[in-house]
Amino acid sequence: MGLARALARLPEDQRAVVLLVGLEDMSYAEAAEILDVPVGTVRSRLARGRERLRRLTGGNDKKVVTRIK
Amino acid sequence: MTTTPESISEDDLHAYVDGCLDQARRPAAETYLAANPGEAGRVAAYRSQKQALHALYDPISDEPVPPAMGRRPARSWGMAISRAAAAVALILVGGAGGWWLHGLQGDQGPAVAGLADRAALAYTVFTPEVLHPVEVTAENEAHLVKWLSKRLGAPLRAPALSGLGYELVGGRLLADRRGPAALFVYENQEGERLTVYVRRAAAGKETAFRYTYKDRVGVFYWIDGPLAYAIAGEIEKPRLLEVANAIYRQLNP
Repeated sequence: MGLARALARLPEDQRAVVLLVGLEDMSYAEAAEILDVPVGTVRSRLARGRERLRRLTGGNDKKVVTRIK
Repeated sequence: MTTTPESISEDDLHAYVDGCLDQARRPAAETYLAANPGEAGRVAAYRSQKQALHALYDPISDEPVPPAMGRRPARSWGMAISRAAAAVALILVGGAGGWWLHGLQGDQGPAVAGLADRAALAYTVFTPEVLHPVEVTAENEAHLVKWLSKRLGAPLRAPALSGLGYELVGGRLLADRRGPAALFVYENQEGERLTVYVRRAAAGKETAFRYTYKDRVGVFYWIDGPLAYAIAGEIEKPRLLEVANAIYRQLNP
C-alpha cells in the first residue's frame, strides 16, 4: 500500500500526530499544545501511528521509499 | 510503553528518530541499535516515513496557467451563490482531535504552493473514506455554513457544482497556522470525488489560477479577496479547470 493511502487508514488521532511531527516537523510539546493533549499522549500516538504506517506500507524502509512516485 | 532490557524505551527510539533524544542517552540508544538489527531496521523505517512524507507533500513546483478569468473586484462568498448545496464539517484543532495543516511561511509564492500541497493532502486523506468522508453532511447545510463562516471569520458558502455533475457530500474544518480551513467534499454519480479547500488569505495577495499535479492528484488554486481556494481531484486537468472556473464565477458573479 502506498504511503498516502496508508496514511488515510490511520486512526485520526494517530494520523494527526504523525503529520505534525513527521511532516510539519513540530516538537512533541508543540504537537501536544495544538492537540490539547499531554506530551505523553503525543508520544504514544506517534509510536502507534508510525508502527501501523510501517506495517501498512510493507514493513520495511525500502518499501516505503520505493512506493513514492 | 515498551522498555528494552538496556532501558532504551520506545519513546527513546522515536525521540532518536526525531532528533530530540537527550544527548546523554544517544550513545546508549546507538549501542542498543547496533546490537539489535531488527530494532535498527524499525528506526530506519520510521526515518524513511518522514522522508517519504516530505517527498509527497513538501511544496511542489507551480505551473502557472493562463488566467481563465480577468481580475475582478473580490467579493465575499455571501454575495455569491444562492442555490444548492453547502455543508461543512469541522475538525477543530484541539480537543476534537483535529489534525493540523499549515506549511505557511508567509503569504508570498511559497505560501500559495503550500496551499496546494495541503489541499492535495486533505484530498488524499479524506476522500478514500467510504463511511465518514465528512464530519457533517450536506443535510445540515445552514447550520454548518454558519458554523464554518464563524470559524473562518468570513462568510462562506459551499460552491454549487451540480451543474457539472458533482453533488456536495459535506465537509470538514481543518486548520493551518493562521487559523481554520474548510474542506468541502463533492462526489459525482460515478463515485469520483473532488474537494474544495478554503482558508483565509492575507489581504491584497490575489493571484491567478495555478496548477499542480502530483501522485495522481491535480490541484487548481488561487487567492481571491480574503480567502484562498484550492480544488483537488483525480480528474483530467481540463475538467478540473472547468470546476475551478465554475467556482470562481460563483464567487464573482
